[in-house]
Formats: sequence, C-alpha cells, structure tokens
Amino acid sequence: MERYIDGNAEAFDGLYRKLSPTLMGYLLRLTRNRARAEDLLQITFTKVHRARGSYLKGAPVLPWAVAIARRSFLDERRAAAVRNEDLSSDGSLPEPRPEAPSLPTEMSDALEIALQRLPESYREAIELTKITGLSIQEAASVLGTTETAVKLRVHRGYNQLRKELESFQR
Amino acid sequence: MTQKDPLADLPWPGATVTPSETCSQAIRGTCTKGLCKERGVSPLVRSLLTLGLCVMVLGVYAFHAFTVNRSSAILRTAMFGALGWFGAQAALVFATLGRPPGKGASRNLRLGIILGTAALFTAYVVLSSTERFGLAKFTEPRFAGHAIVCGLVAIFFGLLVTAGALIAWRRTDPYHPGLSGATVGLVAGLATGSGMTMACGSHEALHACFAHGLVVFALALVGFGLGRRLLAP
Repeated sequence: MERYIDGNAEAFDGLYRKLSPTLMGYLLRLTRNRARAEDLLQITFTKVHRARGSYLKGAPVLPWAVAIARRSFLDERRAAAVRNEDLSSDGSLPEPRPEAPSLPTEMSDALEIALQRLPESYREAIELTKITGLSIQEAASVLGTTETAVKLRVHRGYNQLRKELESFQR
Repeated sequence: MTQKDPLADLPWPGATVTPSETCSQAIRGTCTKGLCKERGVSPLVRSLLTLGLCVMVLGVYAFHAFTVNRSSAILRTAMFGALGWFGAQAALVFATLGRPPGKGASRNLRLGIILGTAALFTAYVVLSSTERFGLAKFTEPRFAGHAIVCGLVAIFFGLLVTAGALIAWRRTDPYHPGLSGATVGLVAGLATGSGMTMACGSHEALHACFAHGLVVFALALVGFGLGRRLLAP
C-alpha cells in the first residue's frame, strides 16, 4: 500500500492480487450476483484509488478496504431501493425475482440457507470473522460497534445456525 | 457422552473468489492510469485546521463584541464560556476525528456523545441567561425577529466552519462518514453558538435556546448529511 501511494504501479498489482479475491468473495456473499459483485469491486477499487492519499501509514489495509466495499454495497442497495425495480438489460422489464431456495441436499447448501436466514447483524458478524477472516477487533471497526457486541452477535448467530443445522441432520 | 458440535467441521463457503479478467483489467486500467505519488495531510494537521477555523469564527464574534462596547462583565463571562467550550471542541476533534479511522468509539457511543454535548451546550446557554421572557413576549415581532437574525448568522458562520472542516477531512472515513460529519457539524455549532453568546446583546433564555443553542443540533444534522457524501472515499 505504501509503495502504491508513492506512485508504484507494480505495487498496485501486488495489492490487487492480495485484496481482490477476498473483496470479491465478500461482495459476492453480499450481493449473491456475480455481475453486481464485479461492478461493486470496480467501484471499491476506484474509491481505494481516490482515497489512497488519506490512508494512514501502517494501518491494516484489509479492514479499510472491506469497510469501503461494505459502504459501496449499502449505497448501491439504498439506490436500488429508491429505483424500486431492477430492469432487464434493455431497460424495459423487471428482472425475475430469484426463486426461493429448494430443500437442501448437502450440508454446504444447508449452511448457506441457514446463513441467509440469520438476522443481518448476526450474519454480517459471522461472515466478516469466520469467512472473510477479519479479527474481532477489525470486524468491530467495520461494523461500528464494540468487540463485545461482535462476539455476542457471532455467539448468537452460531446458536441459531446450530439449531437450523440440527434439524437438517435429523 | 458429548454430542458433536455441528459447527466444528462445517463446510464454510470459501472466502476468496477470483474476479473475471475483464473486471481485473478494467480496475488495473483505472487505478494505474497516470499514477503518481499522493500523500495527504496527517490527521493532526486536519485537526489543527478544523480548530483553526473555529478560532477564526470566534475571533470574528469577539471582534464584533468589542466594537459594540458591551458591558465588560458580561463579555468576560461569555469569553470564559467560549474558551471552555473551545476546550470541548478540541477534545472532540482529537478524540474522535483525529483518531485513526475504525479505531474510535462505537457508533452508539459516538451518537450519544454528539447528542449529549449538543444538549449540554443548549442547557448551558439557557441556564447562563440572565433574563426570562414568557413565550408570548418572545414571539413578539421585535424579539422573534432578533432571534431569527441571530439564528441565521450563527448558522451562516457554522456552515462556513462545517464546509471548511469537511473539505479538510474529505475521503478519510470509510467506516462511519455520517457520524464523523455530524461531529464536524457539532464542533462548528459549538464554535458559532459560543461565539454568539459573546456577540449577541440579548441575555434572554428563549432567545439563547433557539438562536444559539439549537443551532448546534441543526449543524450536526447538516454535518451528518454532508459527511456521508464528503467523508466517505
């Protein structure tokens, strides 16, 4: 990041290789749509590029970039809510709504469905810590809450997931 | 016999997904085109700039107060008050805005600090007033007009500080830009509100509440809205 701020284009390639798979995975989990996730990834990196001057030397890059990605997603979701409908590519008809998930046959499917059923605050806490790999402290700063609150959300989310998955295993 | 925890070996979804080559090329093109060294100013310099704007506004109010020859006892009290509130502004700037992004207090605590400080300031200007009018007298055109003019002047100077400080802190907070913007608005509101207590000739409680105190809430709200646009990268 430091060398990128100093204007080194090769350093950007290294940064991109390191950050983009994690950010893409995170955005794909938020949007559940590859095209939207790639659009948001472009927006996120454009913002990282514009804000590189305000990056604090020595600060961890991943939580900073995840926070930018999350905010881009929230802005996009807010704008989509105002638009009310997702139009098809020719701008005329609404896109068909995704079908409700069918009954899971694999544990991974069941986990995916159970995660989607969690309240947003629990899901976000689990996704940031368990899947994206942020520490509790980093997740707390991204979510704007305390470390205790993140631990509590993860714990409650786990309890809820456990109940859902026990009923699947039966 | 202990039951196996179903979460222990769950097939958690993968954390990483490789973006398409087209997407990667587009991003590389945007982010490396005309790339040059870019170092922004440090949080300390931004904090000092923000406080400098507050001092400038307080200076304008103090100059006006001295030129209209107000009673020296009242002016001295107001100046001590403004000095005390400037300390609060400095504490707010260094404790919230000046800290590395993401390292500050939680969202709820920051919101509590903003609302609590604004309420405390409003209580201060009301309680330090030496006159009390009834609402009927306050709404008479002469007094109401004075309150409106005072409120507008306070908002004008507050907006100047808010705009200048938001530009100084531009694109620095991806975590909670709205709250940081509200803090900037609060600091500007405290500067203009405490400055008004020096410059304004009225010592009436309702006037102080509406024209000097509630301005802080209005500016915090404006800062919240502008901060979401200007402070986010």
